Amino acid sequence: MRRVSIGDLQAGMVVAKPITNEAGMVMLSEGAALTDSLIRRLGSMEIGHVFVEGDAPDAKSRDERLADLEMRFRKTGQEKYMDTIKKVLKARIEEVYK
Amino acid sequence: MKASRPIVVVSRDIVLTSDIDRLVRNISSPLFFRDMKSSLDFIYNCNPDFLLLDIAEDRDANVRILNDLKSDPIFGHMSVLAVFPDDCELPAWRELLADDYIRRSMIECELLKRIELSLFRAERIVQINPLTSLPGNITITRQIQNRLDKGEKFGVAYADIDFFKPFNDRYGFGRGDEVLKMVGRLILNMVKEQQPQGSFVGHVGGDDFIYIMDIGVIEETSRKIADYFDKMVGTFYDAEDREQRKIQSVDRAGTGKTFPLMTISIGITHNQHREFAHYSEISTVASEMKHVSKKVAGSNIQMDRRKA
Amino acid sequence: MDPKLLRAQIERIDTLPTIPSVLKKLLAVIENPKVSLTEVGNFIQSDPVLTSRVLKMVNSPIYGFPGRISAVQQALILLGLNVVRGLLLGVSVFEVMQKSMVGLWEHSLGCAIAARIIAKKKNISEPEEISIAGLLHDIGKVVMILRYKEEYEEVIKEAETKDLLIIEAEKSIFDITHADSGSWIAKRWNFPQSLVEIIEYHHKPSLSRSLPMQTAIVHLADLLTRSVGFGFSGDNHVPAVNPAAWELLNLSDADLRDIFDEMDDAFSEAEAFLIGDES
Repeated sequence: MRRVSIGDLQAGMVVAKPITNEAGMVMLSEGAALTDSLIRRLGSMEIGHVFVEGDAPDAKSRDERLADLEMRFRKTGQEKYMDTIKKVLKARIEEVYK
Repeated sequence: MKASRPIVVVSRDIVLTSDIDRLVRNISSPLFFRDMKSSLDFIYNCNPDFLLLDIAEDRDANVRILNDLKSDPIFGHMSVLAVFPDDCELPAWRELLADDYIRRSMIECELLKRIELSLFRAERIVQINPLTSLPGNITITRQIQNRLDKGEKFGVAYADIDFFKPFNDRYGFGRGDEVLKMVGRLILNMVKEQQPQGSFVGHVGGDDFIYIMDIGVIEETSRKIADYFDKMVGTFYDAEDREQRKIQSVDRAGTGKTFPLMTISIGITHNQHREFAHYSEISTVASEMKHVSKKVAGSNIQMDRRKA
Repeated sequence: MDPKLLRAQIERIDTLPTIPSVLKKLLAVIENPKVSLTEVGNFIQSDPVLTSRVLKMVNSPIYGFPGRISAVQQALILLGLNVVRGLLLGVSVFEVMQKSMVGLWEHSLGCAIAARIIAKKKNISEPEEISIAGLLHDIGKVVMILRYKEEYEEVIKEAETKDLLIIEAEKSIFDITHADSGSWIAKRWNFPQSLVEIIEYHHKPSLSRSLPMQTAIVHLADLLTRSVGFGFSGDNHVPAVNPAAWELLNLSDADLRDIFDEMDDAFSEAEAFLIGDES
């Protein structure tokens, strides 16, 4: 599963998490295949991104992204409050690859 | 007569530029540029009084940039002398916003006197408001009367700033002048963006401004002016007052009082449904509309919808 | 090097170059006769150099609001489309590009976006002004790279070999940092005092006296942009957050998650702007 910006959606992508509107109503459920007209309609809603199935073509693997994160925080990850920021980022990466 | 600021010469002609350099050396140190584009940075930074443009080369691009420059009142006062080759036909002047021209072969005997004359002439013309560089009352009257005489249909808007006086009292004239300059630029640029041709903006004096536009666009433009005024005005207050959205100042009787942030009131009238014969009639109605607008709290516009 | 001399040399800089991909898009914007002020504004506030050019002009004594204007959209309304077009016409590009330059542009835009998002989260009244401060926080790097190309290459080398932060390497080679050079040029160009102060203290937000909150926001925005690996500020690891700034901002884990979510969406658009559409 991966996050795709609304502008980068393409026909054929498969929805991986239900898409809801502001009122919480499910507009498209898991497993729905996107078509051009669906994408246009999503574009008119207040939605920034959609979770779709599969990895991005050039996407890094979960382990690669976690390793990048470790690398960026290698010198300061233990400092006060930096562990909080790192923890939140780590959880985000793990969520995407769940 | 000496030029107080350097004069700008735009030309690629080596012979011409060296002639000019020799001729004007006694009154100014000229600055040379290959084309208008490369001169812009200097002009924007120094706002020179005089520019000499060689029309022989790069004509279209140079003239386009020149015309944009001359249509902005801040740079419009810069005298532009166009140099034409002897055999070149002269253009329609509305397509080349020059103030004077000279033939190439006349440079040697005429140039110096032409520059002196145009600098002197610029000094005499004081019909523009020195603060905003916008035209003042004589031009405003003439603009409106001309349109009336020609039987044109048009809208006139009067704008003034609410709570300007307490602002001036609290922050001093310098800061008040900044606000007037801001309003002048705001009105000018919004009016010109919405209607580039045939519109007019003038500064009556103090915090009173006037603009003329087509009837179809004047209301919408006024609304935008009011919106932007509200967005921008906070910038001119100190952080504390801006945060509180009010200031401590004195009223006309001299007693301390709290005032809200400045707002703008705009009254609009037009001759779509009724006839105006004279400038004074139309200005009376527009200023009535403005007074209606001032009674409403906050920035406000009032359009005249009466038919008689 | 003598800071006084450096300052004098830096203050003599009149104009900064941008990166080639921006210049290409710029021409399309200028040549479009129907372009609106809002479109031009959005374009300009995606680039630190174009933004400083516009702010320098509107805050110059010629227009009569020195030190007053820090929002691009306001600057455009006061200057007018014709003047802005002319101003953009004169923009040049780096003659020799350093490979990290596009990365620095991305980092600046990322920080502008993150600063706006955090400011909104904290209900600050002028998020656009803080966003501009985020965009310009590293303008001192552009200044130093332009004026002292060789010495700055040494900075980069020093940071690499000794595993230092760029700002530490700057200090050891120049005795000054990009926060100093950036604030000098911002002051010289009559930028509002608030902008000067945020640029000066974005690495030491607790020193900011009049704008502690705003400076803390840009400080954190800088750091969060680095911590997700967007753009390249010159450093290969994230510096530590200033504890006082973090406490002042007082963000919960949920706030932080929201901020990262919004950053993600905005960053993919930003990336498309800077790198995309290279046809």
